[in-house]
Amino acid sequence: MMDDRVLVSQVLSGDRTAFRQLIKQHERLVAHMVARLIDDKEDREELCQDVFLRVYEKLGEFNFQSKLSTWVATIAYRLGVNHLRKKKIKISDIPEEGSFTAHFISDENPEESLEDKEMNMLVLKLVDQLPTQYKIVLTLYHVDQMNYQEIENVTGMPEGTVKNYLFRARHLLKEKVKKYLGKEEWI
Amino acid sequence: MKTKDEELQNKIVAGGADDSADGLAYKKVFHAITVEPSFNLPFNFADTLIRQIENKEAKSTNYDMRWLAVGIFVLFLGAVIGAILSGFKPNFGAFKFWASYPGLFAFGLVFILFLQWLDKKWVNPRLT
Repeated sequence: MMDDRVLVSQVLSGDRTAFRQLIKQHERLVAHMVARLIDDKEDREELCQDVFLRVYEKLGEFNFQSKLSTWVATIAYRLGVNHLRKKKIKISDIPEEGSFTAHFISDENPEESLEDKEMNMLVLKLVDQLPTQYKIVLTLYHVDQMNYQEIENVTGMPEGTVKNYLFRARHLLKEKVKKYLGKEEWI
Repeated sequence: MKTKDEELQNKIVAGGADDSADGLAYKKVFHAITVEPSFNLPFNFADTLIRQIENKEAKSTNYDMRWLAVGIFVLFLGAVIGAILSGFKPNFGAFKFWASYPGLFAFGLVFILFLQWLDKKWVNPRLT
């Protein structure tokens, strides 16, 4: 993989091949984030295009204070959040912990046993039902292997909040999965 | 509860085993959340995007050139109208001496063009 500085300087000098490489290097990251934020499949590709157009326009302002991938992810996150706002989808409020937990893990027809693949699909469906911030933190940490500091840079959330959301999201998912596994621990 | 759960999460992240119901459930969760979302961009996404940028830039260049042409035309028109209204007669006064040194004039012109060429060919690419 080409060094960020070399790649950026080539793109800025008008090298289209370098920009193609930049897109190829980051398209999975952007697709993951957009897929987690946006449900509408048609909107997803359009938003990915907007992200890379913005990257192209603003690349001259990138100052190498972070990794290029973190900067690209920041743009994807901001555009994704703006898109949700335009569609009037509420994202700012994390529901009250008690009521949301009760609702999320409520016991609605949990099947007795699930194969691994089915379990993965089930958990991913559950991830989609989580608040936006939880979803994005989970994806950046577990799928894109970003550390807390990088997630803080991308989302603007303090590191403590990132850790807390990550913990709570996993905890909620675990409680729900436990119901499905039918192995509730009686203490 | 949070502390116990946090410890359990950390243990499983570190690859440790835990046979409790919570441990097994966490194992399933951690396995599933590392799966990439199923959305993929089309294979020609980058090409489509670059074409889009090129079209946008071409349009923008045409637009700029049109405004430049309009600007030059208006400037020329203004100069002509100004000259007519003020009765201005062109006088090359100080520049007439060039007529005695046509070779020097030609050399100066060629030298300036040569410097421009050098700048474009060697200096600018190294700066960018």
